[in-house]
Amino acid sequence: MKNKIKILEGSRAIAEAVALCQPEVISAFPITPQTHIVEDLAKLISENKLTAIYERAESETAAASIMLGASAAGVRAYTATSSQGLLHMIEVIYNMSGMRLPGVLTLANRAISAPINIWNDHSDAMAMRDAGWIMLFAENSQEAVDMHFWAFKIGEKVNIPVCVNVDGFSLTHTTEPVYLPSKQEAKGYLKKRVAGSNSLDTTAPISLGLLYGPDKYQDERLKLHNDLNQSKKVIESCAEDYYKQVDTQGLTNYNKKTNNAWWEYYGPQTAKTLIVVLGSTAGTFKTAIDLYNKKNRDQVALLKLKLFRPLPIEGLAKIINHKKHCLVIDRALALGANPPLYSDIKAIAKTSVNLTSVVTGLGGKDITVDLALKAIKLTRSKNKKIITL
Amino acid sequence: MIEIRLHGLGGQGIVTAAELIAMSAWSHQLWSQSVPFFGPERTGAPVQAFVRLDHEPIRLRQKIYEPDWLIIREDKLLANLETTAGLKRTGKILINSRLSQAEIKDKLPKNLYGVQIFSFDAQSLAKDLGTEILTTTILIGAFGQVAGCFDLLDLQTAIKEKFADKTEAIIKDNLRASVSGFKVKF
Repeated sequence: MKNKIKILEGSRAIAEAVALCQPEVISAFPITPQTHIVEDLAKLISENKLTAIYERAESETAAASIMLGASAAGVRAYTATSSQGLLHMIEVIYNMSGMRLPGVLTLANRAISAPINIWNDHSDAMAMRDAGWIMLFAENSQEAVDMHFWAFKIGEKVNIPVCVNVDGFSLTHTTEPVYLPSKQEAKGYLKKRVAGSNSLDTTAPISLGLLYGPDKYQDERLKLHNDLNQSKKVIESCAEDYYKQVDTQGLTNYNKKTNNAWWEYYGPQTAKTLIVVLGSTAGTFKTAIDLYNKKNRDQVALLKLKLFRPLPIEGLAKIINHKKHCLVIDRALALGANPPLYSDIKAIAKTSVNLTSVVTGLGGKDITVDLALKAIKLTRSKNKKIITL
Repeated sequence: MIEIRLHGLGGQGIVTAAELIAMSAWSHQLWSQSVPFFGPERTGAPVQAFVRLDHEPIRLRQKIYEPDWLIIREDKLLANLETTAGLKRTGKILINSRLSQAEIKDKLPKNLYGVQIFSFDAQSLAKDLGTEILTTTILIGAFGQVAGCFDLLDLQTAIKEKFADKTEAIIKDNLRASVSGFKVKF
């Protein structure tokens, strides 16, 4: 089994996965901690391992615009960024989903200035939360690789762009074992993108991104909202299809019930306490939960949310509303309001569920097993509360 | 699980060293993970990197606070208490130094008096090979020898893979350095 698995830096694994997905246009503007991904893609092109137009953009706004333009022309397009880079892109990010143009963005999650900080949290992801993109979060290199394959397929099926979130440094700069699909597996799963009726074509001109007046704008936005919500089934089927065709050598144990495209449920089904997290922190929380469950009768389980947008509301309700306590870990603040993931869960949970919000890990603050155990203990308190650790 | 923390200065290849250890151990049938101490690269500033080795897949991602092993590239880093912080009482130190074991022990906090020390002048060995930058590779070789987490062949495979896009001379120098590290007598 092990001889099919490689040990690679996370960024390299992502770059190789993206290359296997054969994008025709890659736009790049460097920013830490995303830089290694686009550097590695440039290397793969220079080594003739990938044929693609590689555009070194003059800014992130341009990088995103190049992706938008390429997608409008009907080809597969890719870029990556982090933090302030995403903020530069944000106008284009909204336009891309609004114009129903697919494309994949890797967001190497990093804190937002000020104060300036290059380390990992989810503040940047939350800045595009409402942009109408599909947003996936990876726990480890393997999930990051897998999700890039799904991302291209999903996006091109539903004409909605997809953002794959990978924790900056914690995943991008970590070297760990990963299985990369073979060229054959990749080709079997992901066919070349076919230009659609909304693609630019000089022989059959169309207009994109037109003005919609008060009579039409709301309907168009609602259509995106509804289509985004309905994409959940496509997301699930694209993941299911992936694991049918690609044997990840045991590094991801896909199963529809507890480890699907939407989430991974870890721990006993009967656990009365549930912890909800996004991203690589899940690994440390799994270790903490195992330790806790060995020593305590009241069991704890983890819900690692892989699909953050569209939020699988009905599915989450079925799990959360059977629990007595629910602890939500946010690695971002929604300044002046409740933390973002907590707000989402609070809107789903019945009043019978005792909810606790913990905000931690901002700007690279280390999330340790000790911190996780402390957070678990806080869930038993009856007062509704938002705690920072 | 074995947890290893590497200490050095920016530019000495500490992050690469951590990767090489992880890659070598992987080729020695262990699961491994290497993580640089998340920071922007600054030449000359203290650098840390972490490696975890285990018989099963590793999912823990916190920094390493209580290492089983410390690999220290410069003995002057002992003056910084962060270097030895949290080392297990049963822990081990591998250090590039001209100082004797007793002299190194004197520089450690009192609670670490019982730890095992492996010290040797890796820098002079590197100079003999032609360049001081090989000090780090020699240290990794020595680590492989004393910790037994990988063989010379595993390290050489890792070097060839990691430095695949470097010149042949660089690869050759590092291969020689790996041999030199495995031959050190403690």
